[in-house]
Amino acid sequence: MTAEEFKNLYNHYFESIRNYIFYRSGNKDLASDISQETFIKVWKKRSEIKKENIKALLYKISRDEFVSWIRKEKIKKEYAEQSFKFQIEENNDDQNKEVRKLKFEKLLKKMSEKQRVVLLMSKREGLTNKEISNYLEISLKAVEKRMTQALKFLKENINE
Amino acid sequence: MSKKENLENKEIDSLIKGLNISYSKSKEEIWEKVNSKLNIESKPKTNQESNNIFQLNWKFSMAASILVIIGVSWFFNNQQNIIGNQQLDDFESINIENSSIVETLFIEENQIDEYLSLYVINEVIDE
Repeated sequence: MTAEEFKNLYNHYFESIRNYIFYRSGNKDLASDISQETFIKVWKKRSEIKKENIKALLYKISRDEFVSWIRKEKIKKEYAEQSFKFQIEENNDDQNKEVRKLKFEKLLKKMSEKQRVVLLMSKREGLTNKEISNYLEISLKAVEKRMTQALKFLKENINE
Repeated sequence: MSKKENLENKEIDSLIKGLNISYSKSKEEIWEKVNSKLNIESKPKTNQESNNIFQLNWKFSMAASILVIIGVSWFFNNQQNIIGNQQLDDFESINIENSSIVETLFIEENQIDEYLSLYVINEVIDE
């Protein structure tokens, strides 16, 4: 992998990887740090890496990094206090919509991590169920199930 | 799918699309960090840098050449000494018969030169 190819890889996939870690952890700084480490690892192991299915490999490396970070007690404490928070876009929405957005944010936080990741990867990143199953290394059925559960959870709670 | 469900789906879609994640560090800032750690995009060498490298190489080449010249001259010098010593050894290794040496003891001093030229040198040449 040349420097130029690596830069292209970074430009194409950095945000997806960072968002993925954010969907899992709800922490922006952690997401940035882990994505950075992921790409550093890719560059260091570039001679062993095959170009096919590289996006899946990026997800795998970031997932492993995330798990190992979580295992470290120090990191756990450091990030524990930060909450899962999206930036609500400021526009001319009426107050009702603002309230619904805040509620939606809370529901995302309340939702199980597995369901949230699948839901946001699908709806926000525009990935197909097959792509999600490939990147997360889970079955297609598992993706569909998590997706159904996530939507059910949101529908049941958004109007309460 | 009922009308209500459709509406809910649409609303969820629009809520998700309206989510904006603003990170404290931009992608470019992180790239700078990654690049500085790994030195991926090495800056093109300036003329000054190229000249320095050339000068450095030139100095090394000169030093290496001088060393080679010194080494070669030392080697040849040594070889000549070895050859000279060898020749000397060969010369010194010529043995003069003990009988000839004894005979010289009985020869008068004024006749020694003649004796040497007639017998001893001939003996050496024969050997």
